[in-house]
Amino acid sequence: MFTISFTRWPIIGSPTFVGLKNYYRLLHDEIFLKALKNTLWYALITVPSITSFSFALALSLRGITWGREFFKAIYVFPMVVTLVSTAAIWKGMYLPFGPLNQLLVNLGFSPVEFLSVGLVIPSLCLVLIWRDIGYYSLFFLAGLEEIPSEILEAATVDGAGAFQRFRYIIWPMMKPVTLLVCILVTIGSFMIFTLVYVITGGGPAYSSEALLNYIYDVGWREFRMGYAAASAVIYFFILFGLNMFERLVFERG
Amino acid sequence: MKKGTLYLIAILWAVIVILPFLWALRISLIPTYTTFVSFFPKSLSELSLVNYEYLLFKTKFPRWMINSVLVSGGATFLNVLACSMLGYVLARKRLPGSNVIFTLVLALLMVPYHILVIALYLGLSKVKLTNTLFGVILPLSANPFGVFLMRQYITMIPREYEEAALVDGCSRIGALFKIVLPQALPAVGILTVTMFMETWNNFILPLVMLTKDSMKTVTVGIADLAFQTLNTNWGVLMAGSLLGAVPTVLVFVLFNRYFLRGLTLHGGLK
Repeated sequence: MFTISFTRWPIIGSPTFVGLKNYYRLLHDEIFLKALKNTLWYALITVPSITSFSFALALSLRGITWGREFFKAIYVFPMVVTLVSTAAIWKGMYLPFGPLNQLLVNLGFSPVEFLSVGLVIPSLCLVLIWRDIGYYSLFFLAGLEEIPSEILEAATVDGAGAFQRFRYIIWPMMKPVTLLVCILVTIGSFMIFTLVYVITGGGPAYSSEALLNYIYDVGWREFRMGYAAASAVIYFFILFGLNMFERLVFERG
Repeated sequence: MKKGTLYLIAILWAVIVILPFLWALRISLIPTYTTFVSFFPKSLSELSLVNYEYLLFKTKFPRWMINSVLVSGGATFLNVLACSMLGYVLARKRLPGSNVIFTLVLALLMVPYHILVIALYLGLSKVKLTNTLFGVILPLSANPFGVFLMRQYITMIPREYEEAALVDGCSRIGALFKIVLPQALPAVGILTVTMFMETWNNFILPLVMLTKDSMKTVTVGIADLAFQTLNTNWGVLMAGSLLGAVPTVLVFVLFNRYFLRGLTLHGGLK
C-alpha cells in the first residue's frame, strides 16, 4: 500500500517511481481537499448527535421492562437491512416530491431541497443518524445494565436528584462505553461511502464527496492507482489521529 | 421520568425507524410511481406485483441474489473454517511467533478494510481473479474479528478433553472438529451470523472486483438500479431494495440472539 503510493500506476503497465509527488499533488488537489473537508463534516455532525441521542434512548429504554427485547429488535433493524437498500430507500425519501417533503407541506412548511449543495451533508448525516442511534443505544444499554441499582437507590435515599445521579454516578461509569461509541461512530463516518455513492454520487459539484468516494473515483474511474493509494494513506493517518485524539480527551476529561 | 413518557419515546423511535421501510413497501406495490400516493391503500386491488415481476424476469436480479448467496455462503464457511483453525492454534500451541501473529490480528482489527481495497484489487487482478466470485470470497474469508473470537473462546475450554482424545490416537484436526468445536458452538454461531451479515452487506469490494453484469452481487445490483439514467423506476428499485434485504433479515429473525451478542462483542473489540 505504502509502496504503491509513491508510484504512478495507470493499472495497465507497471508502476513508475515518482517519490513524494503524489502527496504533493494531493495537497494542491481541490477535490481531494473538498472530500477531506466533507468527511470531517460528516464526522463532526454524526459523532456528537449519534452518541448523545443513543445515550438518551438507552436511558429511556432502561426504564422500560415490558417489551424491552421487542424494542431492541426493532432498533437494530436498520442495521440488519443492507446499507445499499437503506440508501436507495432514503434516496426516495429525499425526492423533491417525496414523502419527507409531503410531510413538511402537510405540516405547513415549504418543501426543502434536501440534496442541494447546502443541505446535502446534513441530509446524508440524517440517514446515518437514523440508522445508528438504535444500534448504539444497545451498547449504552448494556453498560447501564451493569450499574448496580443499589448505588442509584442509595443516592436517591441520600437526596440526589436525577441530574446529580446522572452526573456523579451514571456518567463516570459510562465513560468507557461512551468513548467506544465515539470511536466507532468516527470510524463509521469515515467509512461513509455507500450512502454517498447511491444517494448523490458525490454531487452536486462534489459537495457531498467523501474521502472513500474520492479514492474510488481516482482509482476505478480514472485508473490512477498510485494517486489513489496516496490518498488512502492520508485517510488512514487522519482516522488514526482522530481516534488517538478521542482517547486523549476521554482520559483527561 | 414517568413510565408513560419513556414508553412514548421508545414507541416514537420505533415508528420512525420502521416508517421508511413501510413507505418502500408501499411504493414497490404500485404499478407506476406517482408523487402523490396516499400512504394507506384504499383497496387491495390497488396493489400489484408488477414491479416484482419486472425485477425477477426483466433484470438480472435473480442472478445477483444467487451470486450474493454464493459469496456470503462461501466466505462464511471459509471464515468458520479458517478462524477456528487459526484461533485453535493461537489458543493452544505455543509456536514460535504465535504472539506476533496474534498482535498482528489485533492490529488488523483497528484498520478498516476499506483502506486495503486498492492493494487487494491490484493483488487479485494480478492473479486474474477480477470478475470471479472467488475473488470476492477470498479476501473476506479470514476475518480478524473471527480469529480473535475463536481464540478467546477456545482458550476458555479445558484442554483435558482433547488431550485424552490425542492419547487415544485422534489427530489434531480430528480433535479440533470433533471435540473442541462442538464445545465452542456459541462462538461458532456468533461467527457464522456476523460473517454472513457482513459479507452480504459488503459493497465496496464487489463493486471494484465485479464489473460484469452477470457476476454482480445484489448490493452492487441495487446500486445499479438506483443509477438507471433519466427515469429511475422507483417501484422496481424499492422492490429490489426490500428483496435484497430479505436474507439478512431472515438470519436476524432466526438467530436474533447470536446476532445481538455478536454485535456488542464485535463493537467491543474494535
